[in-house]
Amino acid sequence: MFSKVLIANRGEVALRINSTLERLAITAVGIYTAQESKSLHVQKIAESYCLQDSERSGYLDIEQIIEIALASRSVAIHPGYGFLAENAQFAKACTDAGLIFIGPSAVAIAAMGEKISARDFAIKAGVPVLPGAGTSSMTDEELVEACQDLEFPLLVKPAAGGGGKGLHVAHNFADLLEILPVARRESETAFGDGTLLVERYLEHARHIEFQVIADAQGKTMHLGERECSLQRRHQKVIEEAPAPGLSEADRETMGAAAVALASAIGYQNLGTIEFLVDANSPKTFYFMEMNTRLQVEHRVTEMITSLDLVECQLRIAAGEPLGQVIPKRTFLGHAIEARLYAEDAFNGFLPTGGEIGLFKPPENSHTIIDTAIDSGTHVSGSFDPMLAKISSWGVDRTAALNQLHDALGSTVVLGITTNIDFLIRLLEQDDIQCSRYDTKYLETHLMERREPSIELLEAYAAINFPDSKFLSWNLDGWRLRGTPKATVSAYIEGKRYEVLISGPSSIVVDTYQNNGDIWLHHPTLGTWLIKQASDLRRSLDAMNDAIVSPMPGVVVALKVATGDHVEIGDALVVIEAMKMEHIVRSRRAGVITRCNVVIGGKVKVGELLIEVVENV
Amino acid sequence: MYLPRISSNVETGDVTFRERESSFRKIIEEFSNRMSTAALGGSELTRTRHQERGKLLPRNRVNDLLDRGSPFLELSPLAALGMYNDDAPGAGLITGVGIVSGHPSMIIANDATVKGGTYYPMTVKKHLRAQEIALANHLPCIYLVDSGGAFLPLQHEVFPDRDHFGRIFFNQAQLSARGVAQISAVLGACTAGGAYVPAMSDENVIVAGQGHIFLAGPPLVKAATGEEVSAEDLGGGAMHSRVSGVTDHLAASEGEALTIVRSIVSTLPQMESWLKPEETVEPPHYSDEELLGIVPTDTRTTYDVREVIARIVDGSRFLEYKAEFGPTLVAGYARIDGYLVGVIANNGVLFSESAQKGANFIEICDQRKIPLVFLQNISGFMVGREYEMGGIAKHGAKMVTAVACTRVPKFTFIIGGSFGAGNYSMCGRAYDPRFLWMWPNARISVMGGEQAASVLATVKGDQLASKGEDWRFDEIEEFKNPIRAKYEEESSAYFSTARLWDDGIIDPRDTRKVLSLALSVAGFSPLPASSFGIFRM
Repeated sequence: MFSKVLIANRGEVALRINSTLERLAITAVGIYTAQESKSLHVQKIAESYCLQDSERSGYLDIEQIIEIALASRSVAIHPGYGFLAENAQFAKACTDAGLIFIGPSAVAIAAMGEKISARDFAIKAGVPVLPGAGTSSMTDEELVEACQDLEFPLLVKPAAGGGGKGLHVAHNFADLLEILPVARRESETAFGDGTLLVERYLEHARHIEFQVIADAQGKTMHLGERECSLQRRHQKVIEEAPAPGLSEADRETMGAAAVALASAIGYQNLGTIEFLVDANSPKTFYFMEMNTRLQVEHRVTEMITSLDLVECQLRIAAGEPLGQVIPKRTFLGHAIEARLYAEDAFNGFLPTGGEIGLFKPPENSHTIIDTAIDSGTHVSGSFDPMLAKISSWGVDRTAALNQLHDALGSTVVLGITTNIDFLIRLLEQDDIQCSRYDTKYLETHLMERREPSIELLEAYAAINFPDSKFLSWNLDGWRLRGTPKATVSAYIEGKRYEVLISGPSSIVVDTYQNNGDIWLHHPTLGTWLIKQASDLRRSLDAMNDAIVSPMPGVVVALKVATGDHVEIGDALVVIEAMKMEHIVRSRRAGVITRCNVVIGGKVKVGELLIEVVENV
Repeated sequence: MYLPRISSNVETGDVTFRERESSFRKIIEEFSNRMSTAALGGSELTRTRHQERGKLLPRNRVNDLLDRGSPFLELSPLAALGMYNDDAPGAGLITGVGIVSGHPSMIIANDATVKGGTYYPMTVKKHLRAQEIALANHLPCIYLVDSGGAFLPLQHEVFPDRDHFGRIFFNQAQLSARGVAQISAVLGACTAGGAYVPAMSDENVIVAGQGHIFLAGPPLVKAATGEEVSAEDLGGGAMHSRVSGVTDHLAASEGEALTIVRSIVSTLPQMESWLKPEETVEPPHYSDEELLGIVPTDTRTTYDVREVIARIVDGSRFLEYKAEFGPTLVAGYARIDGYLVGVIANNGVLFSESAQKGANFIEICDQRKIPLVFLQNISGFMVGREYEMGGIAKHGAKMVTAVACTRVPKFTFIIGGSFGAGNYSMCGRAYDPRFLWMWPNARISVMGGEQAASVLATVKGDQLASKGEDWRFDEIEEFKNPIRAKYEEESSAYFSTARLWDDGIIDPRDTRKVLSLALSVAGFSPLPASSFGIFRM
C-alpha cells in the first residue's frame, strides 16, 4: 500500500479521502489556494501546500500539483471529483512523473470523456444507446442530414461536454437548424471543441447509474445502482440506492451491460456508467455516459454495501485483485443522499452566498454528513455551491427517507440561504415517497416555501436584543390595560407578519443575528431569515438610476459605453477636479442605458453622467 | 430593611366586597371599550387607505421602534374623547415612554388616519405635555411625523397662544439645549409648522417616496406663486437628503427608517438615575385584583385607604408616619418595585392637623430625596367656624407650599374624588407632578355637584328673597337639576382625561406597574440643592 498520497482536491471531498487515508495510516498531502488557509480541509490535513494561483485555477494546474506531489514525496495522487478527476492529461502526467494516479488509465478517461467515442464503445459492447448522430467532422448541414431518420424531440449535446452545460432540445428541423450553430459556438467557448452529438431526447426518463469496479487483472463487477433522477439544471439533488422499483432481473441486465462496457475498454478502478431509463417502460434503458472517477453520491453505495469505496480505489490502484478487495458483494437496506446547496431553491434555485454564522451537523444515527463548512465559513461563488451532502441509511426506503428527513431537520445552517427547507419539503411529497418521479420532476413541480408557523413567529418575538436591558423593566411587552397588546413585526421574504409578544417561547430554536437580521432554525419548523424591517434598500438604489458628478471638473476618462454591463463598484468615469482624480463608480449591477459624457468635457456638480438600469 | 406589613381587614367573600367589585367591573368594562375604540385611531376606511399606501399604522410604528418586548407607558390614550364630534380619537397622536435601543425615550407619533394627523387643540396639548414630561425626566424625544399641520378650522385654538403650536418648536429648542436628544422620522407629510418638527430635531430620517417636508405644499405653492411642482420635488426625501440637507438619513422604507432611528438612539449617552431601587423586590402580599372590591364607586362612601396601599406597595409593607395624629391623612414609607417612596393618601376630609402632618412628611421626603406618591380621594378641607378659627386656611397653605416647592419627583393618582383645595394640597395638576393618573371611577371638580347646586340655589334664593319674590320647592329643584347634571358630566374622569387634565385613566390594577415604570425614569434629572431644614409644625 502507498505510504503517502496527495489529494488533488479541496473541501468535503478532500476531507472524505483524508478520512480513509487516516484510517489506513497513509500520510495525506493537501493543497489549497491562498484564500483557503483557514479552510477545514487545510486544518485537517497536516501536510498542506499552498498553490500559487488563486481561486479555482490553482486546482487545475497540473504541473504545479505534480511538482508538489514529487516535492512532498507522495507516491500516488487521488484526484477526488471535479477539477482534474477526469482529465486524461493529468492521469498521464502522473504516470509520466512516476506517480500512481488513483483512477483509470489516461486512455480510458479519454475514451469515455468524449461522448461520441463513449457512445461508439457502448455500441461495440452491445449496450443499448439512443438513436443519434454526430462525428467530429460533420458540418451543421451534414448533421441535419444525418438526423433525417431520427424521431423528434432531439437533444443536442457538446461531445466534449459534461455537467449539463450546453444542452439544447430541438422539437423539429427548424429548431434544429437554429440550435446547431448556437450550440456549436457555446461548446467551442466552454470546452474548446465544437463537436456536437445529437440523440433522441427521452422526455420522461429516469437517471439510473451503475457503480462498477475493475482491477488490474481484468476482473470487473458492479456494486449496484443509484437512482439520481431528482435534478435541477442537470445537477443532482437527491440520490438513492438501490433504485426504487428496479426488479432484480432488470438490475442484472443493466448491471451486466455496465460490466460489459467497462470490460470492453479494459477499465480499471472505480467508475460509474449512467443510463437513461424510459420512465414509461422501465425495461428500456440506454447508455448515457461514463464517469471515470469517484462520484459525489458514492456514499449511498457505501451505505448499502458496507464498503469504503475510496479504500477500494486505493487498493486497486496499489494492484490488489478485486477478489481480495471485495471478497463478497452484499447489499443491505436502502440509502438516500441529499445535497445541500447554497441556493434559493424556492426562487429559481438562484445561487446565494455569504458567511455561515452557525452550523450544526445532524445528530441522527445512520447518517453521515460530508462537508467542509463550519460556523464562520465564507461561501463564495468561486467554487461549487454544494455545502454538504447528507446521507442516511435505513432497513428499507421508508426508513431511510425518514432518517434523512429528520437529519435534514436537525442540520442547522444559518447566515446564508440554503436549499435545506426545499429538501425537507421535497422528501415530504407523496410523489417522492411513492417514487413517482423522473428527471423533469424538479423543473415541473415547483414548490413554494411554506408559511411561517405561529410557533415560529412567537419564538422570534421572544428573542430579546442584547441592548434592550433597562433598569427593572421586564421585557414582557407590557401595555396599559385596555390598549392593544405589544406586537413585533417580522419581515419574511418581504412580507410583513405581526406577532403578539406573549412571553417566553415554548419551543427551542437556534438563532444567529446579523445586522438586525435574525436567522432561526427549528427541527420541524424549518430555517428562516427574519428581518426587523422590510428590506427595500435595493429599491432605493433603483430609484437612483442616475449617476451624477460629485463635483465640478473635467472628464479625463470614460470607462464604459452604452450597453455595457457593470457590476457594483465598477469604475464608470474619472473626473479631474482640484488636482485630484475622482473615480465615479457604479452603485449597482446593471446595464448602461445612457452616457452623457465626453472625455475632456466639463461637468458641473450634480450633472447627470451616466444612467445604469439594474439587472432584473 | 423590611417595613411592617399592613394587615388587611378585607373579606373578599362578604356582600359589600362583591357588590363593590361588580359595580367596579362595570366601570372597567366601559373603560376598556372606550380605550379599545380610541386605540383604533381613524375610521376603518382611513386605516385601510393608510395601509394600502404601504404605510404602517401608528401603533405598529411605535411597536417596531421599541426594543423587542419593551413596555410602553402610553399617555392620555383617551385625549379628545367626546370632543370635536369624536373625530379625533386619542387626539390623533400617540405618546408614551418606552425603551429604544436600551434608552427610555418619549415617543410622539402622529396618527395620520385621524384627519391626516392634523393638530386639534388637544393634539397640541398632548404633544406639549409629552415634551414637558420628557423635559422633567430628561427623556430623549422621538417624533414619528406624519401630519398635515394645524387643523385649520380651529386655528384660533391651535395657533396663536403661548401654549399653542409654536410651543412645540420652542420646546424642541429648549430640550435640545438641555441635552435632551430630539430625533425625528418623517414617515409622511410634514407640512407648514409640521416641517419644523424634523427641521428642529438634532437628527432626522426621511422615508424616500413617502416622507415630505415643506413649509407649503404643492397646492399652496401654486396659489402663492403659480409654481407647479410635485410633492417629491418640493420636499421629498431624495431632495432633502441630497440637496437641501434638511434631512440627515434617507431610508428606503418605514421599517428601515425606524431601524435608523434605533441606531441613532444607540449613540446617545447612557443616563444615570439617582434613584436606586432595592435589588430584591417583594411583590404585594395582597392581590391587586382585590382593589376592585375595596374601592367604592360612589366617592361619598368611605373606606380605609391603607387597603389600597397594601395592594400597590412591595410586600404590602408600609411604615406609617404620625399614625395617631391627623388620621384623615395617611402618610408613610413604602417601596414600589424596590424604589423607596413616601406615600400620602387621603382617609377623609383634611383637618388642620392632617395638613400639618402632610406638610411635615413632604419636607422629610424632600430632604431624604424620597419621591412622593399621592393617592388622592379628597372632598376638601374641613369647613365651619371652628376650623376657620383654628386657622385651617394657613395650615392648608403649609401643605400646599410644601407640595409646590418640594424638589423630589411627585406622582399623583386620583383614586376617588378630587374636590376643591384638597386637589391643591394633594398635588393636583397645577402642582407639577411628574405624572398624574386617574382611576376610571374618579371625579374631579371644584366642588361636588350637589354642593354647587345648593350654593347657587342659595345665592339665587337670596336675590329673589331680597326682591320679595317667592321660590317654590319644585322651582328650586328645576333650577338645581341642570347644575347637578353639568357637574356630573364635567367631573367625570373621561371629561378630565379628554382635556389632558391628567396623563390618562388607568385600570387600578395597573397602578403599581405604571408607578414603577414612572419611578424608573424619574431619576435622570438632577435635584437642585435644598435651602431650608425641616420646619416642625
